[in-house]
Amino acid sequence: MPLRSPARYLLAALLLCVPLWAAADEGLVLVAHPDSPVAGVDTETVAALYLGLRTGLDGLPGARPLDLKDRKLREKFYGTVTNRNLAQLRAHWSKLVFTGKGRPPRAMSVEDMAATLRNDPEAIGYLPVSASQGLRHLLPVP
Amino acid sequence: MKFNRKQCVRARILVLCGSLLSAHAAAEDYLDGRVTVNAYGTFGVAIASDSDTEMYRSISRNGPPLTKDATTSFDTRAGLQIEGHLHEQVDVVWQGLLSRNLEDNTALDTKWAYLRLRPFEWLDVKLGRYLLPLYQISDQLYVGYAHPWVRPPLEVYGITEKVDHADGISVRALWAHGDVNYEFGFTWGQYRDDHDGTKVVTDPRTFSVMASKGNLSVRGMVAHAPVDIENSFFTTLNGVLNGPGATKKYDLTGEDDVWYYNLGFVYEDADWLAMAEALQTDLSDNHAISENRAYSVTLGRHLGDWMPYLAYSHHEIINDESDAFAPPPFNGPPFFIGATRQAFINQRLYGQQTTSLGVRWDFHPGYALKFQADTTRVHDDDQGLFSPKPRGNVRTYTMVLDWVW
Repeated sequence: MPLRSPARYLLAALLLCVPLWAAADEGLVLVAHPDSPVAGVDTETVAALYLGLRTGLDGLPGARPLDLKDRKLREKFYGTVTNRNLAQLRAHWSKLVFTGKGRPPRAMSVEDMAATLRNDPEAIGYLPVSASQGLRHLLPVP
Repeated sequence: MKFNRKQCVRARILVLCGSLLSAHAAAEDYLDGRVTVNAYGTFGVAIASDSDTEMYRSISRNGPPLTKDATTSFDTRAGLQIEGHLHEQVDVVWQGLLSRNLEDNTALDTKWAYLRLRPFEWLDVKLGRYLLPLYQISDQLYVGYAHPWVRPPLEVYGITEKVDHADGISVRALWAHGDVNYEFGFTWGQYRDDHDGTKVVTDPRTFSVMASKGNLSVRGMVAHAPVDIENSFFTTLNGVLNGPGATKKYDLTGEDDVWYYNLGFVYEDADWLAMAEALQTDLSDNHAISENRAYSVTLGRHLGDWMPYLAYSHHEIINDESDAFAPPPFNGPPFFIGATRQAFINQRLYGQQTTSLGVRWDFHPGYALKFQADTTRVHDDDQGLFSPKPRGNVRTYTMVLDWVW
C-alpha cells in the first residue's frame, strides 16, 4: 500500500536524521595536525585551553583551539571535558569577551575543521572518530 | 503595582538604542575581521515593598533609587564594545555603557578604552581606561548575562561603585603549573572626578592572583589607593567636626591612604554553582570615612536551562564612631554642635544584610530571564543604602532580561 503524503515526509525526515544521530552518538577525539609536537594532554588541560584559562600546550605554545558549529557535538564535547552546558559556556565567554581577556574558539563545520587541522600545525580541534583519519589523536572524548 | 510611565518610556528608549546597536553586532565581524562588535544589555523592572524609603545602588548614591513605584531605571542598561585588530598582537578596544544617572537621565560612560599589546601568548598589556578589578566579577560588572543574579549583591558591590575605573596600565599574565592555571594581574592608574563642587583624585594600584583547577577558581587581591578629596563645604565642616570635644581625627577633605582586600572563590560544574566573596577596607587614622567589611555567599543548582539560587550578603562598618565626641559638660551650643556632628558621622553607617532567592532561565542562546526576591534588613543603628532608614525589613522584587551578542 503506498504511503500517504504526510507519512512519506515523516519517513524521509527520519531517514535524514539518522546520520546526525549516528554522529552525536559516536565518540569524539581531540585531534591536531599529523606532525603536531604535542604528545598527549589530559582533560583538565584541554578544559582550561577551551575555557581561555590558559594559552598553549606543552610543546605547542601557540596552540589555537577550534570549535564545531554542530550543537550536539559541542554539547557532548564541553559536557565531557569542561563539565558545563552550553548556556554556562556562553555566560563564561561573555565574561572574557567584554573584559578583553579572550575570544571563544572559531566555530566551523566538521569538514572545515578536518581540513584546517590538516593544514595548520598550531590548530587543535575535536572531531567524531570517523572524521579524524590522518590526524594526530591527542585525547579520546567518549 | 504602580508604574512611573515617564521612567518606563525612557528606559524603553535606552533598551531600544542598545538593541539597535546590538542588531548590527549580530554580524560581529567587519572589514575582513579587522573590526569586531559585541553588545550586551539588561532590561529590568524592580519594585520595593516599603512606601516611605528609597534604596540606592551604592554608598555613593550615584544612580536612581528603587522605590515602591515599579522602576526600569534601577537595573536597565546597555553596552557596546568595538574592537579594532591592528596587528596579530595589537588591538584597540572601546566599550561604552548607557545607563540612568542620579538625575534619571540617560548617560553614556566610557568604561573601557585601551590599546592592547600581547607580546607573548601569556602576557597581555592594556594602556588606557580599564575597569578596576576590585571584586570577583568587577571586570564584567555591567554584563548581567555573565553573572547569576539580577544584580551583584549591593552589600559588596555597592561599596566602591562610583570609583569603578582608572586610566593607566593594566597587566595580566597567565602561567600554568601542572593542572593549576594562574592569572596574575597588576594595574596602576588614576581616577578623577569633578562633579557638583567635589573633586576626587585617586591613584589605585591593584595586585590580584587567581588560581584555577578544574571547576574551582580562587582569587585574592589587594589594592592601595591614595585618595585626595577637595570640597569647600567639607573644608568648612572639618572645622566643626574637629572642634572642641572631638576625640579623633575627622577629615572629609585632603589626602588619605585606603587599603582594600578581597578574597573569593567560584565553583561551577554541570550541576552546582557556589560563589563566595569577602572584602575589607582600611584607612589610616582618619575616622570620617567608613571602613567596610562585607561578604556574600551564593549557591545555585543547574537544572537544564534553569538555575534557582540562594544568596546572602552582609555589610558592616568597622569603625563605629558612637564615642566620636566627648560628652558635653552642659546643654547649650556645645551640645548642639556635638549632636550635629554625631548625626553627620552616623550618615555613613551603611550596614545591612540581604537574603535573596532567585531563578535564572536561559531560554534562548544569548538570552537569560531572571527573577529575584530580596529581603533586606538594616542594622539597628545604621541606615543602610536607604534614605530615610526603613522601619523594618524591605522586600524588593526584580525581573530582568539579560542578553549578549
